[in-house]
Amino acid sequence: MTVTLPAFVTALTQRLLLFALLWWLLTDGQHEAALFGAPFVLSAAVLSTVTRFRGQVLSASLWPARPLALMRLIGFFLWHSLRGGLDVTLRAFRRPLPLKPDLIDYPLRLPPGPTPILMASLVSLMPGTLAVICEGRLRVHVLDRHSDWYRDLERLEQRIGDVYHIDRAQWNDVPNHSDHN
Amino acid sequence: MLASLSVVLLLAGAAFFLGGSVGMLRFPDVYTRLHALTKADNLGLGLVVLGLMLQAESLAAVGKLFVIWLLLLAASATASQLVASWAQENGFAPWRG
Amino acid sequence: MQYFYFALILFLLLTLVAGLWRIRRGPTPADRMLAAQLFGTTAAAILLVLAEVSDAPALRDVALVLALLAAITVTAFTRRARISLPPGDDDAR
Repeated sequence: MTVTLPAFVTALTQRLLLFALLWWLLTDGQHEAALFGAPFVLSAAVLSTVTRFRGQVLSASLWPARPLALMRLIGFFLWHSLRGGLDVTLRAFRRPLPLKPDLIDYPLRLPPGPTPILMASLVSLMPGTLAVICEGRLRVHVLDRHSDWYRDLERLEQRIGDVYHIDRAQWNDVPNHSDHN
Repeated sequence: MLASLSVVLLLAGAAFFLGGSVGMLRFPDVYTRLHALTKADNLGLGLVVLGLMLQAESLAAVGKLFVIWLLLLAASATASQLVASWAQENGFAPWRG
Repeated sequence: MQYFYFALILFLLLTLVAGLWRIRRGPTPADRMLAAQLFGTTAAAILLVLAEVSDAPALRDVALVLALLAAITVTAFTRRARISLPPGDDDAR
């Protein structure tokens, strides 16, 4: 990866702001704490930026490539985790229990790297799905196998791919699942 | 106005905590219980945090509540996935209705 | 208002009892670990409300620590349990 100066400066500024904000929050905005925090915020930001631009596979980061798509992912996620909490709470109070659980393989289309990890973490907060990692593959435990959980997860995957600017060409091929359920 | 909105959010949050606990008691196996716990409790916490943010004394406190919620969300999602994967690896078959 | 907060805290404490019951019943070790997760989230919520009502912002840091400890407990449990000891070696644990 070639590094241009503006890209480096942008990345460094973003990190400086983020880390400074975190330090400010964790120390309840005390002025004395800022004195101690400043050198560490600075060195952490520089280190993080340098590592980012080494361009090694190992240092592939979860730093979002596209802020706008990230906003959409956050909105999508918040809305669906609200739905998920509501759904499971209503189920808990029904009698008899409205559960038709199943454990199903979910073929990831995201390429290997950090994005499947993010995907697996978010799946458990989506309505009616729970991520189970088994032998390096993602399986999904669903509360109701007749719900349209599959469509939700496909959309989630697409949103994550958008944030990290993942080319559709890079996506793994998956047999057509429109006949699912 | 702000105070009553805060009360509504706190009550709604408490309702989801109750839902999570009821699910944890009533659901038939470890996987379904994880569903109840992860989703309902995190939503409950989110609403409680939101309600407290409206009452917080400073901007730093608001931000801190938000960071706490974010960290808890990440911790809880990771923990539930670890427990579910552990149960799967150790051969606990899911209950099927 | 004060009474409302205390009632809320009491209510959240009662939902924690469900976790204690689950620890007693099990039946699998994973079910018992669920209680750790429940305690992490619910106790954090209780501490955050307490920080507000008793005007002790430091309790927020306690909530943070408690929640992260719960996550570490679960992680340690799953890592440790993955080391499969040879059969009959159970008392070596």
